[in-house]
Amino acid sequence: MTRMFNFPEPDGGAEPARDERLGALLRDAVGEPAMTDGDWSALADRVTAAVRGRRAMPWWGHVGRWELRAIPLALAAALVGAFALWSATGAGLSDASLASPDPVAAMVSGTSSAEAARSYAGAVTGSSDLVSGVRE
Amino acid sequence: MSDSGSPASPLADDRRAAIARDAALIRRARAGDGAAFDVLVAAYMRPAFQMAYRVVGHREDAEDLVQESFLAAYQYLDSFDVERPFGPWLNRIVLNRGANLRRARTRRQTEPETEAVSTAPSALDESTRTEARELLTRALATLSERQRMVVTMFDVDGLTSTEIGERLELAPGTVRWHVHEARRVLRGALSSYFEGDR
Repeated sequence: MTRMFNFPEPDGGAEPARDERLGALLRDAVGEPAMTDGDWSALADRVTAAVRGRRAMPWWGHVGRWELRAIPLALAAALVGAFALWSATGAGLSDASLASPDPVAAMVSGTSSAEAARSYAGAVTGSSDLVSGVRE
Repeated sequence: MSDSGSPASPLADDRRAAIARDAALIRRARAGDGAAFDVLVAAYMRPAFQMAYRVVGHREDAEDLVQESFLAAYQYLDSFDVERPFGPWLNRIVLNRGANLRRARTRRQTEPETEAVSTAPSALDESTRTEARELLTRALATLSERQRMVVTMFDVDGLTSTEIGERLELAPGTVRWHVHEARRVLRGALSSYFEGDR
């Protein structure tokens, strides 16, 4: 969209006259590149080839563009996941739970139910007080 | 203020025809016709390069910028409103990406390119030209980016205020005002070279 400002029109809105001298000095200062027809043609070929390359890129090409970043990320994620799993296994399956006795087996073998319950509760909670009020 | 053309003027007709032609090409390109986008590249490559060169001031950087800008244009072609002219949209991409490129890179050169075509008055000897070039470079650096672009597009590239306005999305009157102001600063810096004109 053309932006409109209220600039005062110099020279009554007429097109400014060309200033050959300033133009020449400016050209000398900003360095006009000399582009031949061959240069333009080469640039056009380069641009169209780049666009064609972008257009022709299959889905695995896009994957390929990300692999340099994706592989280390995947490795890091796998390491973090493995460590998290290992930590959870160590903390969740504590010695107490692994060594918790089977109350049914204890009663079958002749132990009293109170003793079996006390033994089981103590193994799980670390305290046998929980079953102190259990009646036989 | 605007002289970009009344609805009945030939300029407006040309503009509408260009928009219609580009819209057809863009629709074909969106549908997967690669040759259609190639036509757009051929049509807009030179003005895009001119703009890119004015932004980055280095030929190789300008060529990279042109390529990057066309790739971006292709990538976002679906978001382009075909009722609008393609050129200013592409120029905006060139300007935005050029500004990023210039910020990201240290300036590769401040001297004019060795292959630059010097058309400075032959009456000026080499030391005088070098001095004038330095004065002008310093004066150009004091201008806003817009004024620098406008005055070089007008006095170096020979574009009209309407053409510059279309490329930079400015009203032609605004372009003329920028030309006037930029010339005032540059002539002030080069006052010793312009004494005879006053």
